[in-house]
Amino acid sequence: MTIEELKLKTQNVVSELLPNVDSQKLTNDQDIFYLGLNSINAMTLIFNLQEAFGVTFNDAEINFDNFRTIDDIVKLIARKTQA
Amino acid sequence: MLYQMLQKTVVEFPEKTALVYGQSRINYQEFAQQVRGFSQGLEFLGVKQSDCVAIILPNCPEFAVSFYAIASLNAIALLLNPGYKENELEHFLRDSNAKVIITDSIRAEACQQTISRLEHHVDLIVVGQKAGNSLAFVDLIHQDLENWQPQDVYTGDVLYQYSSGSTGRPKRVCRTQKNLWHQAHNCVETLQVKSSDNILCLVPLYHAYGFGECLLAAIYSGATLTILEPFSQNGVPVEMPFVFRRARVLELIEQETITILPAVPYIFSILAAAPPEPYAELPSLRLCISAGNFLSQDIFEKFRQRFGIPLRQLYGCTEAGSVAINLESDQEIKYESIGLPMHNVEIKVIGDRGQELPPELEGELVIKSQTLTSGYHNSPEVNKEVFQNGHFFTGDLGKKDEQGYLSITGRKRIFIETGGHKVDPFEVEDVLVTHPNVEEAVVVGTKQPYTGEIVKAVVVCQQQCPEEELIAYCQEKLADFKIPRIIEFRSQIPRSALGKILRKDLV
Repeated sequence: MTIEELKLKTQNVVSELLPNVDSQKLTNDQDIFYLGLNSINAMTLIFNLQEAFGVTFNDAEINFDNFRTIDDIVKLIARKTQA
Repeated sequence: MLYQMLQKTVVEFPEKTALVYGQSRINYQEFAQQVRGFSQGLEFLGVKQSDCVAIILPNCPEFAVSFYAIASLNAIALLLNPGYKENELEHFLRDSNAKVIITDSIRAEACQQTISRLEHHVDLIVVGQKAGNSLAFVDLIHQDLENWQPQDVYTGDVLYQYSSGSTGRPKRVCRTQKNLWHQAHNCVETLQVKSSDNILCLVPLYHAYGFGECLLAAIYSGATLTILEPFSQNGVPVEMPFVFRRARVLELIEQETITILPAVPYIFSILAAAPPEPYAELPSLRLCISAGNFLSQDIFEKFRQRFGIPLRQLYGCTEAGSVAINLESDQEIKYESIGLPMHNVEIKVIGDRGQELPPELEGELVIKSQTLTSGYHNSPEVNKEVFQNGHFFTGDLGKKDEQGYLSITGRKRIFIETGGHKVDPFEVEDVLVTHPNVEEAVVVGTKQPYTGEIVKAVVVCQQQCPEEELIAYCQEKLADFKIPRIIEFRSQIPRSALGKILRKDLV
């Protein structure tokens, strides 16, 4: 999967959890927690990403910095899928 | 009475660690010294018996120091959710006539704005970097304690909290030092908390659950209270979803050999989903308490499967603190049971005609305890209904089995349980209908995985109105956890033939 494809798929997973957010606001470097992701759906985000990409995040990877923006998530998934 | 409780522990365990917070640790002697020093600072500001001092802090050692300093002056601590917005703070501060606010640098500006709208003078004390004409918490901890004398044993008012009770809108609950002493005593006796215990504080201390099972239980018994420190970025605390703190929480449980973990089902569900590495098990834990929301069988089983420890449901309320817990043996424990009444507590199941019901019949749970408030402030009609002959009618429906084990079967009241918080739908509706375009609003909870429910608003608008505008409007006026995540527009709200709103049809 190319980086662009990873980005698109990640955007779709995030968008599903932010139904009220205009997709134009969901840019790659936008803080998704600022847009409305919170403790209520963060766990769902992690599970949905794992399912969508067929990866398992370990506890050290599940930190705020890895899930703050689409770019952060894509970087993490790219690293895991290459490994 | 509460200062003497602390003093007794200090005499017995002066060198024992009282609080752990990040890299800092203080023992009971040091803690009591800070309490005395800060109480002098408050006295210097003019705080005296029956004055109200608001604590608007996240969990931190200063919360504990502030509370005991206030109690040692026979004053009253008002505990408020640090997530409240200015208009919420204004309402509570005005209603309770708070003379002093203790907060942190993040919330100082909001508090200053709120104070400027109040009619009476309020001093602002700030933990961390002070702003404007506020006072620094640390500067008020007097070091010269030679003339400091504890007040005589006092059993009067010491705590204000707001509760929606069984009938909706928040009402002020006042509890006395005697109520809280009994709460601490009942908890420690029932749970057999010892000075050798280490309690991990993840639940908010401003809430009756964290306040009782963490702070009061630790101070009464001499146990160590480990408070999860906030995550900091460039020295600034950053609030983040619990799942991103999970690794730190598991590390703390192991490092601090935590024995007692009070939390809410939402937290346990996230812990249960932790990968098996690096913490395959948590051998130090002896008691995992679940309260705040209904514990599902799914979370109970997943947690037990993951860590081999049963979750034990505890039941309580702001009006009386904790009153029941399930301490059945590991083999026989039933996830849905809240167990037996705690030490010195009586719980009856009462039918519609006021009669006590036999086992297996559902009725309203009614509490009698020395921990119980005498009533809600300024609410004579509600008080007449829910406080009768020293009994509190909780509004929760439940039943007893043949052995006396209690379980909750429903609620008379309707709350939305979301991510460890309870949201009163009427409060959110009240805000939405003040928007100029909203004609009618009904707020409900819709089920979601891992979170319990999310807040959904169904609105009827006079003119077209973007969702974003309504959400931004709520963000100005409500704490974040109360803000609707879904807004649905309808031309009318469904009602029964008798005009009752059909909430179930809106979920």
